[in-house]
Amino acid sequence: MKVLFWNMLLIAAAFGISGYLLMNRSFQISMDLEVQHVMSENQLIIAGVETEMVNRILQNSFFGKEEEWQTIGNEVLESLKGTDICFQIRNEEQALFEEQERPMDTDTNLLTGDLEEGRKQYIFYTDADRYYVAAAGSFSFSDHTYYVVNQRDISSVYIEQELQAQYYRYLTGALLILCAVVLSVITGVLTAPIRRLKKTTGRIAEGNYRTRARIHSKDEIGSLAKDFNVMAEAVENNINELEEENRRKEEFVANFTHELKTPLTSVIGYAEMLSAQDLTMEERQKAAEYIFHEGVRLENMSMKLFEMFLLNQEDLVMHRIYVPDFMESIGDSAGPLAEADGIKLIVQPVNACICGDGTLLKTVFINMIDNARKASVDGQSILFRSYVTEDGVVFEVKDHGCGIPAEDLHKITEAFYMVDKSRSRQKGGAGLGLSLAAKILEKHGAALEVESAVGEGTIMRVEFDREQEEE
Amino acid sequence: MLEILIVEDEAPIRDLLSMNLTRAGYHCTAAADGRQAAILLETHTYDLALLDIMLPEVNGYELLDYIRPMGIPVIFLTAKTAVDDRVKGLLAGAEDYITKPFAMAELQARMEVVLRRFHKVDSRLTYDNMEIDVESRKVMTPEGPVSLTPKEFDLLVLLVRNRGVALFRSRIFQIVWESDFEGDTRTLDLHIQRLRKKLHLEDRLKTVYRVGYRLD
Repeated sequence: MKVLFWNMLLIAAAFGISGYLLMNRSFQISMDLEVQHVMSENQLIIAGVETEMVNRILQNSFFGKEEEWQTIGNEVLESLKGTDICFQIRNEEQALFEEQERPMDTDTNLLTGDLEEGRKQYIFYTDADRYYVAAAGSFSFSDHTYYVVNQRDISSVYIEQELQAQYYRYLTGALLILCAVVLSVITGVLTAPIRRLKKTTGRIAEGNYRTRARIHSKDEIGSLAKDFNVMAEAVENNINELEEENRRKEEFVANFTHELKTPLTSVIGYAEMLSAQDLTMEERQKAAEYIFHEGVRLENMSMKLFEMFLLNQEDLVMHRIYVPDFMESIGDSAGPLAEADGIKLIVQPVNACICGDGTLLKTVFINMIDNARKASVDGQSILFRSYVTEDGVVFEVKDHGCGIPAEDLHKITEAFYMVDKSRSRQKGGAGLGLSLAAKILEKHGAALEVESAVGEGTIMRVEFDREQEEE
Repeated sequence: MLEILIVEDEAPIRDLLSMNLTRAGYHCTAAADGRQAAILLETHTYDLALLDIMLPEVNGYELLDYIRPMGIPVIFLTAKTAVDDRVKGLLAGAEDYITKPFAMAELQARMEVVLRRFHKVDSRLTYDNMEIDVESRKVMTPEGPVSLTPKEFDLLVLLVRNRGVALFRSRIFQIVWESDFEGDTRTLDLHIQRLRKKLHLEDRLKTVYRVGYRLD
């Protein structure tokens, strides 16, 4: 709209100014022409009068009396018949000859007042809505100065001017309207891409982050559209990430609440039973066992969660770790627990060093061995070994237990996820061990690899950079 | 005897429910997942089903769609406490929605409400060799019918229905006399005494110290 307005304003101004100047000029020209006419008429009249005078002087019959001027005047008038020249002959005091039907419309005294010898002058005046130009010229006879004043009705020039102005106004009006129409169509076409872009913006604001602007032209607007699309892409990605993050958080909270409430239900329920009812010995035993078991489950879960929380808060304490000692101490911690289930833990360290937070890494491998233990049965074994590669040290925890189905492999590090819920819970698991382990490894910049086959077993593998041994 | 189906994947809770409800006089069957439940439903009929929502394989909602057409009322029993979940559960067709952890007493009360709504209340209660007809309000013993006042009868029914459970005085008062307990135990105590006398329950209807009474 603004474009249109300013354009129209400019065009109107251009038309206005040029029109005004043009008309002014032509008016000027017409007026000059009229002046020229009135001047040459004046000259003509004077010439005629002088000729008459000379004629009479030669005939010795001219004395400058009033009546004589009348005659001369009429003679000249007669000779000028057919024109509409209108004149007056006068001296300094009064008019000497004038047409009766067409008197001068002004006080010609004014004009002749300070007229110099041999010169002419003219004046414009109006009378009763008509415009005139009058000229005055002088001639002398026997030491007296006489004047001829003639006038022309130039009203037509003014009328013509007015008509022209009117015509111009209509023309300009029509042209301006035409221009406005054409301009609005053109601006409409040119700004269509902007409007489309605006619509796309609106859609994004409503929440449709997938839409993009269409790019048709190679000009500034096309370039703007391209940049806009880049921005929209970034916004969409951001939103998606945030939504995903939010969903993950919500899921975590839901899982956590469930994992908390379920054991609590048992603890509360059985405790209530024990206090309010008269139970048999067997029933009492069962109730007490359940309370204990679920209580332990709660404890495991809360401890692990606490560790995860701490992990987020604290930085790692990195130091050189001598692998054999490290693995042995893990074997000492995890071995007895496995043995209690009839499972043997075999530790095979390699002579090397790595760099890391010893306490946390210990947690990682104890968790892995714990998982291996829960997957295995009496009589099976778990292998905890390490070996060197080109510039790294690889740790492996291998079991021959029930294995993980292929479709669940990518979920095992999710908080609270358990492949076989009943088995895990029965053995006191909360689904958090691998989650914690994965987080710790992530902080060390190491990735967890898992290979598994259902019914055959699982291998968990992680590689660290090798650290130079002490001299 | 009313048949209750319990579908719950957590063993401790399954046993908790079975133990309590059996003592309360229901006959309970438990399933650990949706599939087991479906198999049971093919060959048995139940008066009420208690469903967990987060079950492996077939979840609670799916099971609900399967059970409802059979005319079996369902009560959801779940750790999902969010309002959206409750609304979803109730709109899906459950008769009630109870969240964990729950008080056994409340669960039982809500079960009774649902059963009553579906006209599945046991109108016949038995206690040892006593037969109580709740509808006609008559008590029959081997020695013949026993006449009880209305309040005595209601009190007896409450005690028999909560057999083995210690009931708080305030609760007994609220349920039988339907008004707030004002701390005066004499009315209740008198009724208990009379019941003991009329039905020879002196050593079965026990006073529980600081709590109230329990019918063993």
